[in-house]
Amino acid sequence: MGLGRYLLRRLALSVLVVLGVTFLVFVAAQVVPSDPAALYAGPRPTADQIEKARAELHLDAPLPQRFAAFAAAMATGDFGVSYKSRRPIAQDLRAYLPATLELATVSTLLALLIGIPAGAFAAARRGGWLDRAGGLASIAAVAMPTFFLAMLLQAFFAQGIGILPLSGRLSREIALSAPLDPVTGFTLIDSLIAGRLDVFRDALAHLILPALTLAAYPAGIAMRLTRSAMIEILGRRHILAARALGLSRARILFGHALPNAVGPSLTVLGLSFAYALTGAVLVEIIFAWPGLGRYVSEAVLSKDFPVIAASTFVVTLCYVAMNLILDLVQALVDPRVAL
Amino acid sequence: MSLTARLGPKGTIALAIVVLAVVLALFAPWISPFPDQGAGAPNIADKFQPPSLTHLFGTDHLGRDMVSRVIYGARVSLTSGLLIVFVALAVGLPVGLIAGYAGGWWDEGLMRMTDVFLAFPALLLAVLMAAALGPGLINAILAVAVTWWPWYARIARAEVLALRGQPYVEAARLMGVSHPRILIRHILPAALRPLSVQAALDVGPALLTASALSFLGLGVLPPTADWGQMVDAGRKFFPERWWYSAAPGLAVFLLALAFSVLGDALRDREGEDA
Amino acid sequence: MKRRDLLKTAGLAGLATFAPSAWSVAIAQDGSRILTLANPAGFPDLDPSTSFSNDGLVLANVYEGLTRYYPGTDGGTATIEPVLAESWTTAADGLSWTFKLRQGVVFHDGTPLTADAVKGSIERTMKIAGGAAFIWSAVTGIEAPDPATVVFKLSSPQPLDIIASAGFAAWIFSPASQAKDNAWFNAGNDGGTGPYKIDSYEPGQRAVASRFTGHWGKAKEGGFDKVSFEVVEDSTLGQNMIQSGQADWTYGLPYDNLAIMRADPDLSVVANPSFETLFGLYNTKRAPLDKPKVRQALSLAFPYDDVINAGTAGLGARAHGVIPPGIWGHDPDAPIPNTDLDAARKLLAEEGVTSLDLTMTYATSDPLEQVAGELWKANLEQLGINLTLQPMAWEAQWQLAKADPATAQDIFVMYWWPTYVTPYDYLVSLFRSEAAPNYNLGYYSNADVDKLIDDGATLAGTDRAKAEDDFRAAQRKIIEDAAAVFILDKPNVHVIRANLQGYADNPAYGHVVFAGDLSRKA
Repeated sequence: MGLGRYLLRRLALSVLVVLGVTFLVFVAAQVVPSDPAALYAGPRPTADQIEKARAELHLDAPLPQRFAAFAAAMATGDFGVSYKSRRPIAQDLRAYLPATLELATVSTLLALLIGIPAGAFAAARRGGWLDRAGGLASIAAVAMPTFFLAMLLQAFFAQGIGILPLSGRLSREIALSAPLDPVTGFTLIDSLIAGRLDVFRDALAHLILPALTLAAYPAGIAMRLTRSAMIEILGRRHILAARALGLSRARILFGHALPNAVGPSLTVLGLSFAYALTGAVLVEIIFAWPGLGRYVSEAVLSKDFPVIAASTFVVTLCYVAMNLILDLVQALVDPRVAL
Repeated sequence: MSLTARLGPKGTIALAIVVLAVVLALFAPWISPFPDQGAGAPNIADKFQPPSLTHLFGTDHLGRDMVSRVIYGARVSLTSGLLIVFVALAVGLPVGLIAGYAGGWWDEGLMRMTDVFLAFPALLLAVLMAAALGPGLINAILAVAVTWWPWYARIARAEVLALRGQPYVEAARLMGVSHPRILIRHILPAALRPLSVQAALDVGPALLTASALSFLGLGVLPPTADWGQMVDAGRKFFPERWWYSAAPGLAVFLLALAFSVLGDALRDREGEDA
Repeated sequence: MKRRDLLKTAGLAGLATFAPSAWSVAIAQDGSRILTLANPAGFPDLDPSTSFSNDGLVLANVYEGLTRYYPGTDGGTATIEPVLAESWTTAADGLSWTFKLRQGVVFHDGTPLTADAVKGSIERTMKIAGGAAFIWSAVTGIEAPDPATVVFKLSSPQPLDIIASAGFAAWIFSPASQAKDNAWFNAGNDGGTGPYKIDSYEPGQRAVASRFTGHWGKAKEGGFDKVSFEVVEDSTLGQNMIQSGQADWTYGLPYDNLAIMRADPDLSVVANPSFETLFGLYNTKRAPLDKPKVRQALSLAFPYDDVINAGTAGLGARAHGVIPPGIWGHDPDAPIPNTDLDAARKLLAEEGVTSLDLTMTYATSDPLEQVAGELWKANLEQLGINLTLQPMAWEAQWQLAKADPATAQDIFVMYWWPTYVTPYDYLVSLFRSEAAPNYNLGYYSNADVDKLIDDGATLAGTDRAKAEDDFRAAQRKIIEDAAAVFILDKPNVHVIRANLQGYADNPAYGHVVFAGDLSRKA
């Protein structure tokens, strides 16, 4: 088929998918029992104020008209205002989306940094107690409920021995006395751009626990995948030949086996990022991380439809884009994928 | 080879834990030390008791025995985990079979539909569905099942595509066996095998997702005992009154772990067969 | 496994350099004294005309009204103190009020406080008609005969001195800011006269205000130069902040954790009655709840003391009807039911009710309402009544109740607190007959009670004693009719650092700290 046509086809399908998602979200909002006019009108509205809100929000317009307006708004990025806070949603998304992406990225990196070496060592010492312990650890990491792990880490490192901050992205000290100018929204990057090493260290300290929590599940999977891939490769003829020729163990391990075993890790990358995006809801709540997951779940609980719609749209876009990129990379790298 | 030998030591322990959970769930009113508290009856005089001989896991904010609450919670968790997988299978299997067998526009249409569902981040979709459907166990199960079925549809479809070209299927067509007959008698059983292994592996994660939903407040109605909801309720009192969150949290972990190990062992066993 | 351990240990050692020291933000880098208030909710609207929520905390420090309400302490009577108005009188017929303004007051932008500014502020609030603007609904006109005098003309007698003391919709702001829109205020700008002015505002995070040197009041010795209004929605974090000294004041912590706070010598737990009361409105239009005896039986089955114990750690108090103590019209002697399952059983038998299925709706995130529901459910089970507890988002709950009494809930559990301090607010909103239910979500309709409420309202501006009698009579009738189960009067519980001086909670301004009155012991 050729790369170009593959790309085009996937793009077209992605657009279709995003449209489908948009439609689903709109339909869900109509089914959800709530009174958006009452939410919009304020904390304790009078009947008049609710009527006024209803008119302002065009809630009495016919359904197809409302869907058209909704779809157009999503397409142009005019996400409107939150019913609850009356703040422009685009502004909120600009603040919250990078926070979640930063968390997802760092946790994915952690997962790979922990999982792949662990899997490699387990494969190298196959059958030994290290391998068995590692196997148990990886299964435990996969089975551990995210919210419980978050609470345990928080209780031990923050409330217990107190070497890491309890929650948030940055210390209040910094936010109050010398606030950081948001450029990209990624505190790690922004602090380096501004040349503020103190902020960088502070941001890193705040990232560790939430990222670690989100890294557990993908690290476990990465470890198992790497291990089985390595075992398979280590058993191959050319490796045996290399050992016969006298190449050192480490050289074989890291020079030959590991690079070939990294393939399945691409899958883990996508999986981990996706998992972080969704599991972030729980971690953001427990660590008071001002991210998209928390924003959306609060909106869902208070039936703040514009926020739900806009956030779902944006998150799905990220998701679809990421899958597209991963599929492309895999298509380029893996000759088995039929283009 | 006997079952226990087939499953290996880890698998056997895991099976024992799962069986224990099922027994606890089925016979909760008879096994729990304080069955009415497990069901929700309060006992304020004893609130926030630390673990002791009478209350091995302590008591919660309404004085209810945590051992009983955890046992009653097993009912909800087991039901959720099993039913989610079952419903997802019941929806995903037919969709995948039809898509794979019929091909053409059916395939395109059904697969695009699964793509839409797969494009949603799973927990977010479950949260949206649960909020739309309202609280309650059945609604929570449906909400998670909605995010799960696309995977099974994909797997089923892949199996069908592989099987469709098999000689015995060709032969059956030539003999004039109808499509549905072929589907049900020949393809379905073959497709079901890898799917059931996947399903067994998935009970643990389904359980985890269901408990995440109830942690967020979208599960069963109070005062029904539910592990995720109990962990959330105990969070404000963590870590001073650690038993409130620790007991149900560990329960979720152990049961999910047992299902995972069991599923792994089944898959290895499956691998030996195939 | 070993490698992971090694990595972790090495990481820990490295992290030790990252640990934030246990600091207190009391003295910031430039030496100014900062008061940090940890608020469990955000500030939706900083516009003084439309603010109607937790933003009242910020606005109460940045703006001022004509008067301020101080509830009576130790059984004394409540007083209305002059703030921007020095004195006020009302005509004999109660249809006009004249306020004399304080001299020497300036807005944060330097312009002086004049009667025209007051007129402009209230008129803007009335025109926008959002938030709590309805408190001015009886005002037909505002005049400013001279720069120090404001005259309000009313269509019916109203206690305008109390209305002007409201924590919402009664702020006075500069003529320059009156021309601005909602977005200008929510960007962090203010036009007030208060002791602090807003320096910066990050929505959902914090608002920071600093001392206004031109304020007419005297600055306190050792007072605060800066106030940081933090938004801390997670109670675990809020508790951590107050315990470590990062915050000076917070509320909303679980009642069961207060014992730990009390044992801490650095902290002080301040508990006092609030004007918030918790109750459950019975659906008086649905059989068999349309029979008073059935409702009375349900109220007799309610475990009042257990709920106060388990839900508020004993800090709440039995509600005597719907008007809490500290407000005029409170009736401490009103006869209220005590938990008595036998009496309840008898009443149910008299009405021939042997088994019943009821649904109680309440706000999803409220632990107190959930405890109340669970404990009541246990009692009702002994009477053969099955109570289904249904947590819902407020708007969803409200919509369900407003739709159709036949399909609505049986019991609607909610809180009420007044917009300005008057019993009328409670009674008219919750129990006066409504053609289309707004907050009378039990659909209660009693002509006698309506008349008492209306009469009381008319007299509130001129003859407060007689009005109080009317309101009390109305409330007694409502209690007798068991229109609702009056669960408890919610306590205001704030946790503060022990070295904070001058702190006194004013329930008329819910969860508001008047930072200008506070100082820190050195």
